[in-house]
Amino acid sequence: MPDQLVVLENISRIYEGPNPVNALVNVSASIQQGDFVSIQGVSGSGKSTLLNVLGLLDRPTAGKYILNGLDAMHISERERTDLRCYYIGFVFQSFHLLATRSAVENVELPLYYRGINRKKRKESASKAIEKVNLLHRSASFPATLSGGERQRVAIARALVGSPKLLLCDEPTGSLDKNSSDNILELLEELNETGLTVIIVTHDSAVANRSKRHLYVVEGQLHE
Amino acid sequence: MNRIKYKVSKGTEQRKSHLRIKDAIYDAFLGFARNPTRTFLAALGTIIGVGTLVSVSGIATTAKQQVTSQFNSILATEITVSDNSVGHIPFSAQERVMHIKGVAHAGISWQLMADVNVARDLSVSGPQQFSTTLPIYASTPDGLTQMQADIITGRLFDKGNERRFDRVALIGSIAARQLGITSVANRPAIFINGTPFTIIGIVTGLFGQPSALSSIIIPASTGLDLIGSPYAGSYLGHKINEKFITEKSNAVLQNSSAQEPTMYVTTAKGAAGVVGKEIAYAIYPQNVNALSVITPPGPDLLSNAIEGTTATLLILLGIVALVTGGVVIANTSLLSVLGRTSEIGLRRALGARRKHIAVLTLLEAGCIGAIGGMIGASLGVLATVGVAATHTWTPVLSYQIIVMAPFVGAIVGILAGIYPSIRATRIEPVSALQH
Ligand SMILES: Nc1ncnc2c1ncn2[C@@H]1O[C@H](COP(=O)(O)OP(=O)(O)OP(=O)(O)O)[C@@H](O)[C@H]1O
Ligand SMILES: [Mg+2]
Repeated sequence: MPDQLVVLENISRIYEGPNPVNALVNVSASIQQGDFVSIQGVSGSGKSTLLNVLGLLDRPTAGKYILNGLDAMHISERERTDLRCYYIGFVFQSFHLLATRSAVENVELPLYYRGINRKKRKESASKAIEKVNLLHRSASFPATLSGGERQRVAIARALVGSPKLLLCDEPTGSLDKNSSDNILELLEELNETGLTVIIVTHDSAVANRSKRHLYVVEGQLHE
Repeated sequence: MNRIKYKVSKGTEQRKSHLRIKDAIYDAFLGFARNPTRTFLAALGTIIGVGTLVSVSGIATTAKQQVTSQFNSILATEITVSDNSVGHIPFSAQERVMHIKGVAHAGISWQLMADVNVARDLSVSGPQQFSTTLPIYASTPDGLTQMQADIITGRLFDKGNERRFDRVALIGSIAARQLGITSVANRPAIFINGTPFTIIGIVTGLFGQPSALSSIIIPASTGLDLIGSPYAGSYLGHKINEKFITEKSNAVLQNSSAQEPTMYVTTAKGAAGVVGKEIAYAIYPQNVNALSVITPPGPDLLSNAIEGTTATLLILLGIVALVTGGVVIANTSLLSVLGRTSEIGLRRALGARRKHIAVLTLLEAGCIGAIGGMIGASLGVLATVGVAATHTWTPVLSYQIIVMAPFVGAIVGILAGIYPSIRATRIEPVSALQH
């Protein structure tokens, strides 16, 4: 059981509204510790919805979600925040870096919420930045970095808290072929060190780099 | 399932999201230090609010101080001491009062009687005698200053005349005309109840009252010697009283209505209040209520009066200014929160609790308020100094208000930040992170 990092059972997510959308329908899956999983699917199929459920950003309408052996469904918003804080790292297509903070300050950000003092934050952030080979740009602001560099800063930020699960939503969606390869290599390296990586993409070339391929078709998950 | 749920709360006990206040402050500091334009715009409200508050209060206190010192220098140095039913002013009073620190002059004067027969000896120019009835005042030399006697011709009587009980008199300008006296060069004489007096000066002024200008003023000692105490035999300073009350003067007093003496005391600038309190002790230590001492409305009373009118205006203006400042902070904070939706969503995704988002927004608003307060206070001080300089006044500002300004700004900022921070905590990370 402990090496089953993620267990989903019959997860569904219905967006209420004038036209309710069944974004996820009875999704069941389990993901091992150390896996490198890609989730593919056409636009609007429900990939992001699934990733948000996995990342505890969104609550499924029904189903069972066990993360690292812990019930992640029947817990309060605060407890979900605690789990996000310590277990999950996020990488987004549009980087989501703070424009007024330098690279290293962006990487420090998650550590504020772990009660870590400034000196240790700086140390850990520098180590994480070193891992993504950007130490020489630590003090640079996002506006002066290339797309690939920005995404590497974002990955360093996701790594700085040593999460168990790295969730990437179209991490190469805004990058050219070269930068994209660069990022994928980095993700592979991280996976090799034991990090569980889940990457959402509609690009099969990207998905081919993963060990395991999942497909979302109209809210349903296929292996 | 229950077992696992139990494990969640147990297992995450040490692994809770938490934010140290020190780090939150540093984070908020970076937030406003790295966005100077946003910070300035947000702070503008408090700058204007606190600036108005400080400058209005500064200008008010400066003007108040100005009025007070002007008032002090002109009016607030005159003290009037008079009898009440309990006691009388002894002649030694003048001496005793002069010993009080801050007293410049003290003089006693009183009106002797309503009807005194005054005759001018016209033997030089003819045999007729001109006779009329005039009011007569007795005064110490210092009392003349208090009576505002202004010499037209001749001179005032002095301490020497007083000591020698000289039969000298001053004559008011109207009385002089009545008696046909235009010059004192050939030492004209008048008779008061048959006693000859030499006119040594013609005076005007005399309390600024025209009625007093038709009077005659003689030295207080002479008055006592000749006509007697205004208290009809009672004491007016022990020695003089015993020595000089004569049968004759008693008789005169019995059928005339002398007014009781008044002592006028002039003090140094601003000393009237203190001197006023000491006078009664100096004159009648055994019964301080024996005399009525009228001090001018001193700086306290006056500033209270001014404060009364300006305080309301000041408070109103201050409140309006601060509310305006608060609304501006609230507005900019709200805009800033809405503009940073994705940042807030990101922070939530990275492990920030709703509480942490609230703390960050409130700290930012509070710090911006405090900065605004400091800048506003500085501008307020400059404005006060500027206004004072154009009027050549001395700027007066209570330091409390300057010390308080950043705190007031911070409180306004925090209050104004409450609603925006509630809005910030409601931001859901999912929607916030959609591109
Ligand atoms: N907040 C929402 N309210 C209502 N419907 C939503 C909401 N978010 C997503 N949906 C709908 O749910 C479905 C799945 O959306 P999702 O974003 O998961 O798709 P996706 O596979 O990530 O697409 P893309 O490749 O374009 O990012 C879509 O039909 C979308 O319109
Ligand atoms: Mg998507």
